[in-house]
Amino acid sequence: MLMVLYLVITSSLLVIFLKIVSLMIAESSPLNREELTPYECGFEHHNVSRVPFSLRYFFLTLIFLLFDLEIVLMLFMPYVILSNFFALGLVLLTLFVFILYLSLIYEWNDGTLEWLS
Amino acid sequence: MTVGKVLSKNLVAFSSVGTKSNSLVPLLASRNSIIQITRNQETESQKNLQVAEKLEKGVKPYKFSPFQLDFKSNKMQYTMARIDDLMNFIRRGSIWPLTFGLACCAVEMMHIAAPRYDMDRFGVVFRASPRQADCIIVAGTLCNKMAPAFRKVYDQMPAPKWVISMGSCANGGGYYHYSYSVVRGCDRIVPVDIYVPGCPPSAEALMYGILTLQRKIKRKSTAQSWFRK
Amino acid sequence: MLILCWLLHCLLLLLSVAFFTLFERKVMGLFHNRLGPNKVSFIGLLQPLLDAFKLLSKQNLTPLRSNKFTYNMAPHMALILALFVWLTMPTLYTMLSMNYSLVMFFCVSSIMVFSVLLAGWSSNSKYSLIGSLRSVAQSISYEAVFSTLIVLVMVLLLSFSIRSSFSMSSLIFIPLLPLWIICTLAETHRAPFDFSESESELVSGFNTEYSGAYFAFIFLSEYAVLLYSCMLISMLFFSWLIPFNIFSYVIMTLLFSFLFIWIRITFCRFRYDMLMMTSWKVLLPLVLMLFVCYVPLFI
Repeated sequence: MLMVLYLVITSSLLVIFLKIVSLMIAESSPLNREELTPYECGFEHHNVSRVPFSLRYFFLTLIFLLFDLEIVLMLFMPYVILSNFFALGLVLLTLFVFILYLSLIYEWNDGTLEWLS
Repeated sequence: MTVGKVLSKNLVAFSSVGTKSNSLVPLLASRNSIIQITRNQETESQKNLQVAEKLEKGVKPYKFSPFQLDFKSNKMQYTMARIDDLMNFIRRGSIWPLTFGLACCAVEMMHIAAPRYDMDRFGVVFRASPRQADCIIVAGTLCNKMAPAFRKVYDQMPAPKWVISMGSCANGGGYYHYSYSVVRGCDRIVPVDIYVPGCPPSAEALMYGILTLQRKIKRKSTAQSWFRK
Repeated sequence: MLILCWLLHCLLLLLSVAFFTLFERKVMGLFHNRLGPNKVSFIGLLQPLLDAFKLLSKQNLTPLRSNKFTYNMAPHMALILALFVWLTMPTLYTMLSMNYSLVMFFCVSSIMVFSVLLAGWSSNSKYSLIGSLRSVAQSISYEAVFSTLIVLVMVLLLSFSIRSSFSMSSLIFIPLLPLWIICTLAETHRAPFDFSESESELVSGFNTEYSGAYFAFIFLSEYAVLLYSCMLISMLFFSWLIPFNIFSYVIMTLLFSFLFIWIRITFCRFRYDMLMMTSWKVLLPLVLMLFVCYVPLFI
């Protein structure tokens, strides 16, 4: 595991090296305020750019969180199947997936998935 | 045969051949000396002779090739010049223009992206964000309302940046020069590098404009100027 | 020694990603009845290097009132993660064979979502923020489906590593291949799900405010993950077809990357709510159904 850390550190050093190369060979002109303003097709900014994000994304993240947790619970199925209790494990897996299905259908009918765009 | 050609040309054209003429010509030239249009017209054969003479002497054909210079005396300047060559090759090999199609010239700009005059051959891809663009092709009439937005977009491009003014409206107001709401040339707003004339310039003309921009980039000398400060 | 090997691998990977962009441009050109880059160098072979060096030599701009640390960190993070995910490749490092490569891939692709989010949030621009939120929403929706697929593959392989797919015949999960390809397209923000890339043609994606080297990093990371996904597909699904030889996997990878480019050229972009609907209402029930269908296999 420690090897993985060293390898990640080397790749990050490579990436930082690329950035340093860019800093060295970059052409620089004196920065003025106009250059640094965010892009809005050329017009002045009337609003603050940190718009509050709509609640839909929050609901989406919640639903993703629930399904992700269920996936994490299902993650150890290979070990269950390899053990002595695989029949029970498979039955429980089917039941679990069925409950997941029910929750998905419930969300669908509730309208949470409706405008998740 | 060479002499015959020369004689016949002189008889027909009534012009005196240039200073490096054949020995037989002065006889005829004196006859036509009343009407003498002095033109430095060298014939093909004489040009071939000159090249042959040069090659005999050992003069190389590419006078401006960098590999002839001795670089023992000015190593740093030689390196700076080669670095410049490399950087200019890099920059002109991938010019990314910003899509700034304002009016009818934009359609011709679209045509250079189309298969017939494919701009992707030269490494030119259109980018939508000014932060990722090198070059801005002002295609169309720049109106007074658009001018501050245009200046802002130009400012938001990172250096090095170039401007190609496309079409007569962008060059100098064009067809709408005398209108109350037109900027008479986008060079009132931004410094322009290449002007492409036409109304609209054909896609081929804009392609030629991009190639001219490539030639202009080739002439840049940032590293050498940095060295000389 | 391993570190040197890995460094060489990273460099060659970045080079191959650069040439993959050239491959894409040439293939797109040929599909459009034109030629891709061929004037600048022999058949455009130097084009990606020119693009990369040109981007590195652009001016570095940091937008006003942006969160400077995250703005600078997000592209680095994207590229580091894209290189990191290649650690899980089983054939490359016999010294570092992971027993949990699939789980590692799943974890790293979850973190890659963060780089998009941070990149969009820290550039002080409405368009970047909205673009990145949409990309993130797309990513996590398809991640729910994708991780279920990965769990299914792990259950069928009875192991958490990719290496086990070499020994076993992976014909049984061929029906998962179309689903896997769709999920990969969505995860790597490729057409027809490319909201982060092509949205910048329409409005602005999360990389509007990134110029020069940072844009190059984000671009490279996207394509590096795409190449990894192609290689993963070839290893998981097609190891029964080809002999255990690194070159055959490379050829399969190239074939799948060609398939992805072909899909990009052929299909137009989904509408955003159609995309979401597909993920939650079509693909997720399908994957869960597949779970139940594969259970009798063990009995």
